Amino acid sequence: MMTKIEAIIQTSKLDAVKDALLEIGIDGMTVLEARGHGRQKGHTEFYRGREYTVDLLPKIKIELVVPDERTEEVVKAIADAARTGKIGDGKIFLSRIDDAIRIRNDERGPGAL
Amino acid sequence: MTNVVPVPFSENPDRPLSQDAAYEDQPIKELYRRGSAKIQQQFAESRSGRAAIDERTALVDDIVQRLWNTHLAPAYPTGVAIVAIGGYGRSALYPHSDIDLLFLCEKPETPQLKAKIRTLCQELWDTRMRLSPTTKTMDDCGRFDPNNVESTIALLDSRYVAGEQPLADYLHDKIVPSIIVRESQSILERLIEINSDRKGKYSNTIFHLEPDVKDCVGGLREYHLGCWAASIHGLLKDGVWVDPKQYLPVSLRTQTDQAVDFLASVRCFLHYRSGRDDNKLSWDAQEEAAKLGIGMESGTASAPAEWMRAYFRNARALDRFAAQMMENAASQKPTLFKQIQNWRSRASNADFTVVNGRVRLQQPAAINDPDMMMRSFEFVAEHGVPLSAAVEHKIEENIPLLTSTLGPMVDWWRHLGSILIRPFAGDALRAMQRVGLLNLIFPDFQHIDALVLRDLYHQYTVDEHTFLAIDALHQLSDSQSEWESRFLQLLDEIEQPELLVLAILLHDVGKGVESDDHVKMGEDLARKRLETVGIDNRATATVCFLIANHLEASLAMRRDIFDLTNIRDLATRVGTQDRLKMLVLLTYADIKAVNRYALTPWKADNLWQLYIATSNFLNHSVDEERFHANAENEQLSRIRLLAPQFGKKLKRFLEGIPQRYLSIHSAEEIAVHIDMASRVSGNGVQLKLNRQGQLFLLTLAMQDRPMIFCNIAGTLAAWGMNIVKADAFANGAGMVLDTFYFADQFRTLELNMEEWTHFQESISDVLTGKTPLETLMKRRRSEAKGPKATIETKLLFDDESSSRSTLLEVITPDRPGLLYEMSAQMAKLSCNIEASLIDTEGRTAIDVFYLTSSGQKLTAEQKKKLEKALITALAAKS
Repeated sequence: MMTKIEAIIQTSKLDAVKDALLEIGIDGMTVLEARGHGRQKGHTEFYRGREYTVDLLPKIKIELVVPDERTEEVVKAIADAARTGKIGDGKIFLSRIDDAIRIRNDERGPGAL
Repeated sequence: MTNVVPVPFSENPDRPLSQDAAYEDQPIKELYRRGSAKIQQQFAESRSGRAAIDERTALVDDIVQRLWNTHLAPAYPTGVAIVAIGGYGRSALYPHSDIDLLFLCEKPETPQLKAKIRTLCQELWDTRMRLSPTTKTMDDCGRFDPNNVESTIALLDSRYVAGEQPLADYLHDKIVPSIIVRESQSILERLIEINSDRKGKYSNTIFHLEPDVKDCVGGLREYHLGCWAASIHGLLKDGVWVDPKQYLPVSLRTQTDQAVDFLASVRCFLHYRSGRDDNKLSWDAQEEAAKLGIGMESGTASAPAEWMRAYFRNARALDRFAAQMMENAASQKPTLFKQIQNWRSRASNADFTVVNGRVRLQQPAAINDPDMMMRSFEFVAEHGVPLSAAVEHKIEENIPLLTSTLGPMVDWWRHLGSILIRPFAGDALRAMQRVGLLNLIFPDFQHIDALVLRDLYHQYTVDEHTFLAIDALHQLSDSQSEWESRFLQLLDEIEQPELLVLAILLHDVGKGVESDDHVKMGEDLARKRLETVGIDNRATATVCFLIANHLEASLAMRRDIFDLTNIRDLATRVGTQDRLKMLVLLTYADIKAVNRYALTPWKADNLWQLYIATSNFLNHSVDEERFHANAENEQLSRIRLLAPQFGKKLKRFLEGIPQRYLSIHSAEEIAVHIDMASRVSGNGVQLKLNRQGQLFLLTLAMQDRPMIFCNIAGTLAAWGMNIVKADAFANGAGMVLDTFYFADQFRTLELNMEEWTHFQESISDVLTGKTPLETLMKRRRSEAKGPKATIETKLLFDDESSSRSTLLEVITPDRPGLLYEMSAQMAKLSCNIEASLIDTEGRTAIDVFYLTSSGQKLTAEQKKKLEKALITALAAKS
């Protein structure tokens, strides 16, 4: 019925992704500051003789839940906006959501989104 | 309120409710319902909260009196009185406030009396009033319970409503004053405690996105607190009940009255809006209140941000009122602040004394001297103790005099610079704003006074955000976390921290003026004003640079912080390490002061990574980024203006010189350098020696040849001078321009003026080959022994950063002669120093050399040899 979309993207792409989602009428999302790496490895900087190894890179994680029929459209919007073509562009994960409840008025299902 | 002439209120809505037709005959419930509806209707028309709370008090008084007449008067003509306490006692009943009633009995309550009181209360409950009744004897009231001080505090607002008036009068005129005087210490202590708990709940700030107009800092509770404190003060001092405002200077009375009116209207609006005792000024409520002009004198609609600005100004006035009343009351009890006083009075000196936790002047009249006035704020900034209300008022009175006559004669910057670098600078600046002094020095500051940026991100008004950013910077000294201590290290390394704090103070002034670009506007406003404050051009340039670029590091963080282009852009913008550090700290403070959660460790770490990358880029790109004749910039035009006589010599001198040279030297300095370079003839040397604060600065211009750097470093070491910072550059034509900052550890130059010439001659002789360096080195004085540093030596070679040189970064414990020893090893292995950046942070030397050998990068074997030689040389001494 509904799909949760979790997208890990470059920090610099947050604004572009937000704009792209807004353009297709999605204005609600959760944004988390995250760290991590996939195959993209970190690097080491020396500062005053001390090593600063950055093995976990700063990333942004966006979470949103959408009705099933909008999933592909949203995924495309995120992917297009977040793509630079280089390693480290991120990933998008999809999972099934059984129900949603709006706390304010107990509304349930896609209407609560 | 008792003798009524019945007229229906619908016929004449302005008449008091008690004059309505058939009023007498209405059941109490209906009377209260209709009365309340009418008050609400009147509020909707007049929007006067003050009128609404007066009217509701009168309505409830009337109902209570009627019930008294019905239920208690026949059986108890004497011996019992109904006394209003709490908000009801203050005659300030908000539409949905509780009603606190005290049934005051001469003797202990009998079962019959209890039944009567219960009947009366039930009727009140039936009207849906929220009632809190208590029954007490006069003896109960006169007894002080240290575990329930609140019950005594409640009596401060007691007011007779019905029953035997002499009984209530006795409580008010005898019992309460005597208990207050007797127990004032405990009561004041408890008030301070309650107050500090309440304020703590709201993070000790008036600034919240959705404030509670009753309990928040600066809320109506502040006014009650001030009134209680004033009552206690009056009873202690003169033994009488006083009007709290009599303790305020006239200017503050109006402010306080306006603030109470404003908040009373807002609170009534909130109660009517939600139909309950809801005091939270929510986001939506703010919009509605602004639209209705609630609390505004004109009653006209305004933008929500403008309306919230009025709210914050009024909250600030009440906060000030309460603080002053508490101070007055505490001054009657010298022992109250004993603890605070004890440690803080140690701060007292010949001019200032700390009494009851407040700063006073030893000679009160001295405050009329502007110099003394500024020093009082320096004292606040140093010790974090507020000025006493009397001193603040006196300064406030003197401000107009400063504007007219003395203004230009005060050396503002001398004092302000000193205030800004002290640990409680934020407190001093808030006090300066309160008395109008900050607006006098920086008139543009008034445009951001209580200015609200109404979004869900900026928690504070622009002025408070500015002060909090300054607090954030100074609080780095108390940092606990590892990531905060990294930023603290940067703060300690900045050459003129006062300029950074000044830039923070002014970074958002542009927001107060209508414009498309607050950053540019802020820079323009600051530039204009700084000229008149007594800051030199170089400092002004730094402050304006920081204001103009205060968003750049944040912008860079929104891009890829590991992307070389991004780093290069930022590095080019800042130009020098010192400016980079200041910009990073400004960004840190700016983000931290947006709201309590804005600076996450994630963001702080990203900022640090950005700093490291940019700092490394600055050190590693010196010989890549060079000046070329076709470039034109503001600095070049300025040098032309300063020294028009140079003509084409200017570009000839700058051609091929590293850009870094232009970043670290001002136009004035470059003009001097060009003059020196133009005087160099053949193998000659041009030297210049100046004193720069604690250090000496040696500038040298000569044609490039081997061993220059090593020879100067050696000569300075032979004279016992410790090099702290140095930069070595050469232009495309081989003209060398080096600067050395050194400490004169044996005070040779400081104490012997004649040695200045001798010293320069000696350098010149070594450089031109007249005296071999070895001769000088033999008479080298033994080194001053400093504390032993435990810094590990690190050598890092880098062949990637520069296309023509090998970079060598050396981090090692600093000591006199270090630079000579290293450069001598380099010279021995035929390594030419193309450029170098010498720096010392604490006891660590951080030196970067750009090395070539026969015009090429070093080979792997050369690097190996050099590394070995340097490690041996450095180890031998350490």
